[in-house]
Parts: sequence; structure tokens; C-alpha cells
Amino acid sequence: MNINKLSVVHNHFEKIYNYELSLLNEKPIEKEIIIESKIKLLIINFQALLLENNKYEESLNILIRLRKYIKYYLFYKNISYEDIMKKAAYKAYALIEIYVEQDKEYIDLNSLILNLLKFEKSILLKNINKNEIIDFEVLYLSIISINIFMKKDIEIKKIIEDLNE
Amino acid sequence: MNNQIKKDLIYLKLNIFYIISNNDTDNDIEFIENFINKYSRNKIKFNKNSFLTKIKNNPINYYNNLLLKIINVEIDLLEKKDFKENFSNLLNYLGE
Repeated sequence: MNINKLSVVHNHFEKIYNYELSLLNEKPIEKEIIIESKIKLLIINFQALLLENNKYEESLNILIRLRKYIKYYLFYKNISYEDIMKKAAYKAYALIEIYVEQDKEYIDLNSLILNLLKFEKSILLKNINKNEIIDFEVLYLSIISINIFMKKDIEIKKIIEDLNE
Repeated sequence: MNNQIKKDLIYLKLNIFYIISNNDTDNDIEFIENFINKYSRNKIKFNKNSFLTKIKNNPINYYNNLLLKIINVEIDLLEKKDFKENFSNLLNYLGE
């Protein structure tokens, strides 16, 4: 790792520290953006892993985490069943459930990715041009990018606890 | 051909993400330039400085708009629909 990269790492860890402190005063809108940012990045990472061979365990781990975040939309958000977001979320959730818990051979990966992308699209359409969330998302994306960069998974404990309740 | 486009779109998403999160390298910028040149057959010119200014000034708006355009092409490809219009929108957005 070169010096420039190390400097970036250091700066990001400072942001993580400050961010975790700010979680003590977490607002509902921020929790939602965190989950949506996670979903976006997990989908990209899942697609990227599929490009590589022998990455089954990693891709499974990503799907398990995606399932957890999609659950938020299905059980905690007040959106109607007719809503395109919920339809895509349900389909993606069901396909992940089968893929993870039963047999991946039953699942058409293209169909799984298609529904994940439709769900992601509905999130993007909901949020596009909402300027008030931008600063927060920039910070959060910086934080999670370093997780990928360092190959570590720094979980935001409070959110996970909320989701597991 | 379509499989190659699918792969390139995923790498494009990753590269844009690395750029907005300041983990980018010259290789990431070069990938985007090559992507535009390859798929526009050199008809759309890539302006590196203009691109970096846009992405650094308003990273999330740019990222989300770009992501939406990429996803539209990906969905077309997965549903085996004609993706030319959405792909053209994506290339024009990158080259603006």
C-alpha cells in the first residue's frame, strides 16, 4: 500500500469515528439513507463478485446482508403493495431467500439481479434531486468505501440492532 | 457482445464510485474515457477536467443520476429489450 492510500485510509477512519459519534443523535432520515446506500453498494459488489470465479462464499455473504436491508422496506416502511418498489423488493427478497436457504441451482441469477436493479432504480427515483440528504450520503459513502477498500466490514452496530429487533 | 457490455457497466459503476469516494486513481478515469470512446466509436469526446469538476462539485447527484442511467441499460439488457436509447442517454451524460 502506498503513502497516498494510507493517508486516505487515515482520513476515512477519522470520518468513521466522527460519524459513529454522530449516530448517538441519529435521525430517521439518516437511518434510511444509510440502508439505501448499503443496498446500492451491496448490489454493485454482488454484481462485481459474479464476474469473478470461485467467489461463491463472498457473494452469499453479500446476499444475506442484502436480505436484511430489503427486509426494512418490506416490514418497517409504510409503502403499499402496489408500489413498484415493494413489488421489486418482494421478488428480490424471495429469490434471495431461496438462493441462500435452499438451493442456488433453482435460481436464475439474471432474474435475481433484474429484481435487485428494479428495486435499486425505485430507490434512486425516490431520492433523486433531494438535496437535503446529499451531504450526509457523501459522508456515508466515504465511510463504506473504505470498508471495501480495506476489505473489512465495519458494521454500524446500532442500525443492525434496530433491524434485528 | 451483450455480456461484455454488462461487465463494462458494472466496472463503470465501480469506477465512478471510487472516484466520488476519493479512492480513485488515474486508471479509473482512464477506464471511463476508454468506455466512452469504445461505445461511442470516438464520436463523443471525453473532457477529463469537466468530468472531474462535475463529479467533485456535486458527487451524489451526479452519481445517482449516472447510476440510474446505467441501471436503465442493465434492465434493458436483462429483459432482452432494445437498449440503444438508454445507452445513448448514458454516453451523452458521461460526455456532456
